[in-house]
Parts: sequence; structure tokens; C-alpha cells
Amino acid sequence: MTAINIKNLTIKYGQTVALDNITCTVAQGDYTAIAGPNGSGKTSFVRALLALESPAGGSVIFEGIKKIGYLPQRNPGRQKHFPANVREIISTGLMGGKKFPRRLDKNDQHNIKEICRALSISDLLDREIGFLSGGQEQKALLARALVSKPDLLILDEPTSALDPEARDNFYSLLENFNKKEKTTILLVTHDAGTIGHYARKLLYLDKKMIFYGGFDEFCTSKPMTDYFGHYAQHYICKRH
Amino acid sequence: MINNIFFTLAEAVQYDFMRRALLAGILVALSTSLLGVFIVLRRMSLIGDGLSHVSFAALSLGLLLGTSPLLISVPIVMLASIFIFRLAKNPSIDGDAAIGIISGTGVALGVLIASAGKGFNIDLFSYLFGSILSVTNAELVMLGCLAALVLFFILFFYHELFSITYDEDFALCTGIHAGKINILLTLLVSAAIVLGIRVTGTLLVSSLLIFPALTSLQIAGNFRKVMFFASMFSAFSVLIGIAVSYMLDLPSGAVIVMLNALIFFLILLIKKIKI
Repeated sequence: MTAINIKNLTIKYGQTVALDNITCTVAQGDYTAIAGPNGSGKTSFVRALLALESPAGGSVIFEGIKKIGYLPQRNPGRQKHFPANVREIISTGLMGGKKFPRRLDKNDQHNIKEICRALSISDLLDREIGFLSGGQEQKALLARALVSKPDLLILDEPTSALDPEARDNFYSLLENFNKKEKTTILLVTHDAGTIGHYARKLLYLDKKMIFYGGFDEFCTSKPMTDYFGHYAQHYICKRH
Repeated sequence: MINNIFFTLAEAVQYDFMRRALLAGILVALSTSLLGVFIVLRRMSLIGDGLSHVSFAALSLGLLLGTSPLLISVPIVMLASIFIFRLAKNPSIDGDAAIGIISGTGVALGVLIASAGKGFNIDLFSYLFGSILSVTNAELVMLGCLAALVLFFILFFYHELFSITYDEDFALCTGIHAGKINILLTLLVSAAIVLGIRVTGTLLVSSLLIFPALTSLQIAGNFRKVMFFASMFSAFSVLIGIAVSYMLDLPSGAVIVMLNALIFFLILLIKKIKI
């Protein structure tokens, strides 16, 4: 069943084309890695899906998606010591759909505790967000994205602040979440060598859509070998 | 000295103009300091300067036309704030550059209008440096409405403001209408800037937005506490500033801003010693 229908999506910044005529459909429950070189339009693509970027052409239609969780790239522009603890930041993931006076109920509190337990950050709940390490902050923001139990989870380079072990744990956790909750996942990553082990599909962008399909197909495809070369294709596929 | 200040305050409140000044000061302090927390945390501190420069042009225009300068300034500065907001959305113009463009244009326009209407330069001078002791009853009503609007806005949209201030993109994804909230925030900041001119003047009014919030951020690790302390620091500076300026016959706006700066650096020093 289709979750996202993307048709002829084009994004321009002035005269510069960031994404050119992307057409693909994402099925419900898919776990898709979005890879590509720097400046290939990965972030523009997810920002267009989230309506944070206005496309120059084309359309994005969601089907059966009610809640979206989003983990942005680390934002260096954010206030260094924002005056809030982890609990307050995670709770912003639940406030969107609430009506005034927007209070958290017992169920919400339970969900926050559960997601923090799953991410092993229960001991950080009362810590100030600005005093966390990069990896801890990343987990707290993932908890914020997951706490509302979204139908679609979009992550933009979520493992940039994580060491290799934490990164593998992070991917496994997403894989479990995808299998258990049937959450559709779109994950932007430079970590093409590892992601093939976890994600089931790959969307490879280089301003245009170079490849979209399963990793099996990608790893055996002759045209892909022509595009990437033997080494690059082997690198992406080595842990698959 | 402290006894003298309180004695002066007690003596001063017997005068009608002084009661108006103190009340106006507290209302401005409350409005600007609360809005300032969001402005500072969102790294938009320069917007205060930009809008105060626009208000210089608007006040000059008001004086040239012979109408109430503050009344004419509020809508003009509000329009300028929305223009800055729209301009900053242009991918080729950064937010601070957008403020710079409007700010420079505002001052240039103000100087041209002031030179065209030579006769009102003395009136304009009072708006440049503030004249809280001459606050009228009508202005007091406007300040009361502004403070009430700011309080209502923060109470009603607290969670939206908190979420947008931390991460606007995420807030948008959760269905929060960040664009509308941003416009409301900028409109209120515009009104606070224009009405705050009575207290400190166009040259210093942005300090009322920035200093209390920054000082409060040094000591409070909780969003609500930051807002509480910011309003307390601001109200304290305004009250004591008015009393000191009355005692020593100094310009009240400058004294208020100096007090704000003194508190900020004092807290920074205490923090450093403690570490």
C-alpha cells in the first residue's frame, strides 16, 4: 500500500536546480535509505516531503499518514544552552495535536518514559538539553520524533554525532521500530557502507534519481555498476 | 544610597506624572522582557535595533504630518517587521542582512524627513532619548493593552512558542502554524519597540528586549523561570532607573539601560567566580 506518492518533484534555489524531476512511490512500512554525494539534494528532498521547502514543480501526496516524526540534521545555529530539560524537549513531539490548554496526560507521560527506556536515556530526562553530548542529544531528539508513534519517520543524517557502536545500535533500534510498529522510515545518510545492512530500499540521488529499489537489485544491477564503478557499488553492498 | 532611592520613590509617587511614568515603565518592562526571551533565544536580537531605526523614520513622519507620532509609528513599524520577515525568506538574503537593509533605509528616511521639517527637531530629540516623565494617559492605556496582549499571547501559545523557539522545522512537522505565530510575535515586538521608545528612546529601546533575557539566561535553566527572572530584572531596572534619574537629574532611558548592563555584568562576574 502506497504511503508517499512523489511525482516530478523539482526544487530550485534561484537558477540552481537542487532536485530534478524525481518520481517514486514509497510503500507503507518501507525502510528506505536516501544516499548520494554532497549537494545531491538529499536534504532538499526530505524538506520538500515535510513541506519545509516549496517545490518549483511536481507534487508530494501522503496516503494514510497521520503523524510524522522528524529528526533534523544537528543544527549548529541553535542556542547553545537552551533553557529546557530533555523531558520538555521530548514532550514537544506530543503537543502538536493537542488543544488548549495542551497538557500531557498519564498516557503521554508513560509514552515518554517508554521511549526513553528503549533509547537508554531514562537517566537524562531531567538534564538540560544543552549540556548533553552530541550522541545523547541525538538520542533525545530521536525520542522526540518517536514519542508520538508516527506513521512516517524522516531522519536527516541522524548518526553524524554517533560513534560506530552507537551508530549500529541506532540503526538496529530503527529496524526494530520499523518491524514492530510498521513505521515507514526514510533515512538520509552518508553512511552507505553500513545502511545496506539495515534498510531494505535505497534511493540514490545526484540531483536526479539515479536509483530507487531494493538493495538486492542495486547490488546486482549492471547499469548501477556502470554508474558507481565496481568499488563504490561493492562498498555500498558489502554489509548487505 | 538604597534608602535614598526608596525614599525618592515614595516621595515621587505623590506626583501624578511620576505615577504615570512608573506604571508606564513597568508595563514596557514586562512587555519587552517577555518578548525578548523569544527574540534572544531565536538569535533575532538585531530585530530590535532594526525596528527602532524604522520607528525613527515613522516618528519623523508623524511629527511632519502633525499627528500623534506613536500612533502613526505602530502600524508603520509593524509593516516593516512583516517586510523583514518576508525578505529573510528570500534564499539569497540572510535574516541579519534583511534587518540591515530595513534599518539603514529607516535611518536615512528619518534623517531626510527631519531635515525637511526643520521645526520639529527638538520634539524628535525627545523620541531619540526617551521622555518617560511626559507619558500621557492615552499612552498609558496603549501600554496597558500591549502588556495584556503580550501576556495573553504567551499564556495561550506557550507550547507553540516553546516548540518554535527550540526547533521551528520540527514544530512545523507537528502541525504548529509557525508562520502565523512568528507574524504575531513580530507584530507584538514592533508595538513594544514603538511604545518602549517613550521609556528609553529609539537609540536604546532594543536594550530592553535583549538585556533582561540575556541576564536571566545566565541564572535560570528553565524556560518559565527565564521569563519570570527577565521580567523581574527589567521591572527592577526601570523602577530604580526612574528613581535614580529623578534624584540625580539624569536621562532616565540611559540610566535604565546602564542598570540593566550593570546587573548583567554583575551576574556574569558572580558566575565566573563561582565556577
